[in-house]
Amino acid sequence: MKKWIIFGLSLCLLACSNSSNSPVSDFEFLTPRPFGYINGDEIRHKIILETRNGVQLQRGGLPKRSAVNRWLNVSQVTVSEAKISGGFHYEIDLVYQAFYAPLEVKMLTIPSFDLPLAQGGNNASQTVPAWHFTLSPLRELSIRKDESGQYMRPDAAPPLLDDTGVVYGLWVAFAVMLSSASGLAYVYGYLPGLPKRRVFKRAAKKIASLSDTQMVEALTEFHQALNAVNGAPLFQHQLADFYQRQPSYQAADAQLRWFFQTSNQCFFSDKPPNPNGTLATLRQLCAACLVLERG
Amino acid sequence: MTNNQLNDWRDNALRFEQQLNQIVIGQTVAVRHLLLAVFARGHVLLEGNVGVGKTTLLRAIAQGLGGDYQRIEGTIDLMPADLIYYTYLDASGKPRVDPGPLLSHRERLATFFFNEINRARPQVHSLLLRAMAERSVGAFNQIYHLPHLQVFADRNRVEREETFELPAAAKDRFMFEISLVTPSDETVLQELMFNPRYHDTDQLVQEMANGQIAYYELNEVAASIQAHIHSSDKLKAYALALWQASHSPAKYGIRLDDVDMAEMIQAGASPRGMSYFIRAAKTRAWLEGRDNLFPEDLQTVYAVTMAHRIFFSPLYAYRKDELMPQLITGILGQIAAP
Repeated sequence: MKKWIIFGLSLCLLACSNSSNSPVSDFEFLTPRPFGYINGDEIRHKIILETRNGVQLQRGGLPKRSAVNRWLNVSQVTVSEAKISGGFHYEIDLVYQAFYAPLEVKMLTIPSFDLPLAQGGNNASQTVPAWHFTLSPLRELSIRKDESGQYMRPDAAPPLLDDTGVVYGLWVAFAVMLSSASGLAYVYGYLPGLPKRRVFKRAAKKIASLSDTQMVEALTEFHQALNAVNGAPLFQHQLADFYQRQPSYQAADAQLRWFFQTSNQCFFSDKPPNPNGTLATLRQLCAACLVLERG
Repeated sequence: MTNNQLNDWRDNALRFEQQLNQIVIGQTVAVRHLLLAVFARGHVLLEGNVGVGKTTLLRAIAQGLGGDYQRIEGTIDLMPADLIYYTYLDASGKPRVDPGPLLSHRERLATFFFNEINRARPQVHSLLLRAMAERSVGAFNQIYHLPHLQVFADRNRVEREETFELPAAAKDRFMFEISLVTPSDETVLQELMFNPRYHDTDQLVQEMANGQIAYYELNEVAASIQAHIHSSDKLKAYALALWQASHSPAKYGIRLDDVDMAEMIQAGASPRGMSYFIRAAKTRAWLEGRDNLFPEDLQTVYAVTMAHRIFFSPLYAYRKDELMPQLITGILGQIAAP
C-alpha cells in the first residue's frame, strides 16, 4: 500500500514538473453570450494572459483594426500589460463588429488566431480558439399581414433631446447681436429715425468738399449741424445751456467759441476773418464733433 | 464824436450801471435794460409789484443823470391840464397860473416819473403821447420843448380796479416794458431785510454821484452810438425775420399749445417799435465794446421791446401773461442767424 502512495505522489510531482515548462502560466478567454446578435452588433472578447520567465507578448501579431473577412471587422484592440513575478500579465480587449445579414438564424464563427510569444530568441504561441455564435435577421424575410393591420410598422418616434438651454442661449445670443447691431447703427448714425446722430457726419462730408473761397457755406453748414443737435438755433451766449443738455460737447468748448467768433466776424462784422487755415480748423472742429456725436 | 470819446462814455455808463446795482440789489437785468433805455433815449414802462424798488431805481437814475426829476401820481381825477399848469390864489388873493409838472423844468427836465400811469384817464395818456414822441408840449399858445425828457411810467399789476389800460398808441411810444420782480436770491432778500442801508431810500439814493452822466449830452451820445454801430446784411435779414415773426409766427414754424396761430395775433410790432428795437440793440453792442451788431444784441432786447407791442386777438388776450413769454421764446428759439 505504501508503495502505491509513493507512486501516486511521484506522478503528481511529474505532472507539476511538466507544466512548468509552458511559457504561459495562465490563459483565460472571456466571451459574452453566443446568441441574440443582429447585423451591426459589437462583440467584446477579453483575453487574460500570464507568462513565465520573461516571456513577452509580441504585439505585432495581434489582430489589427481592419476587416477580418467580408462580414467581420475588428473595431478596437486594447492591450494592458503588468509585470508579475517572473513574467507578465496581459489583458487584451477585442471588439468585433459583425455585418452579416442572415435570412434566418445563422451560426457564425469568429476565427481562431495565435498570440505570438517570445523570450530572447525563442518563440512560442498561445492559440485563441474560434468562437461560435448565432446571428439573427432583423425581421422575417416575408412580409405578411394579419387581421389586426399591417405587419410593417413605423418606428416609434425617438424622444427629443432637451434643448431648452440651447434655445434659450440662442435667443440670448440673438438679443445680444441685435442690441450690438442697433448700438453700432445708433453710434454710426444709420438709424433713419435718429437724424441727430449723423448731423456732423453729413456736415463733415459737405465741408470736406468745400474750398477756402466757400467759407460762408462751410460756416452755415456747421451752424445748421449745431442747430440740429441743439434742436433749435444755437447762439454763442446759449452755449452754457447747450452744454447742460449736451454735456459731451463741453469738451469742444474752446473750439466752439472760436467757431462762433469766426462766424460773427464772417457774417456780421466789417472785418471778415482771415481765410488762411480757417477752413482747416473748421474741419478739425467738425471731426471732433463727429467723435463727440458718436459718443 | 470820436471813438475815444465813445469809449469814455461806455466806461462811464458801465460805472453808472455798477452803482445802480449797488443801490438796488438783485435787479441786474432790469438795471441793464434801464441803462440801455437811457443811452438809446427811449421811454420806459415799468411793471412790477409794490415795493420792489422801482421808485428808488428811478430816483437813483435821476440823481446820476443830474437833470431835474419830476414825479407825478396817476389818479382817476387827473386831467391833462394838471400836467401843464395849475391855478391857485396867491398870498395877495389874486389868481395865479403856474407851470405844471411838465413845464416847470423846461429843458432841464431829464427824468419824468409817472407813477401808476394806468390809474390816469386816457386823456392824460394822449397828452403824454406827444410829450414822449416829440419831446414837446403845446401850452399857453406856444410850444415848449423838452429835449432831454425821458419818461418812466409805472404800472401796478396787482390792482385792476379803477384803472385804464394803456392804449396801443401810448404803449408803442415806450421803448421798453421792463418787469421788476422780487429777487429770488435769499442772500439778497436777507440783505434787503436786515441791512439798514436799504431802509432809508433817501440816503441810499444820495450815494449815487450827482450828475456823473451829463443828461444834456445824452442825445448827442445816443446819436453817435447809432452812427457808430454797423449792421451787416445777414443781421438785417435776421432782424427783419424777427419783426415779421411778430406778425405771423406760424410762418416761421412757431407753435404754441392749444393756440390757433393763424388767429392769435391781432397786430405785431410797429415800424417805430422796430426802430426802437434796433436802437436798443445797437446800444447794447456799444456797451459790449463792439462796432457791429450781433444777433445776441437783438435777442437781449427783443422781449423788452416786443412784449408790449404785440397784441393778441380777444380770444387769446386774457391769456397774454401766459402766452407772450412762450411766443417770444418761440420766435427767438426758432429763427436762426445765419
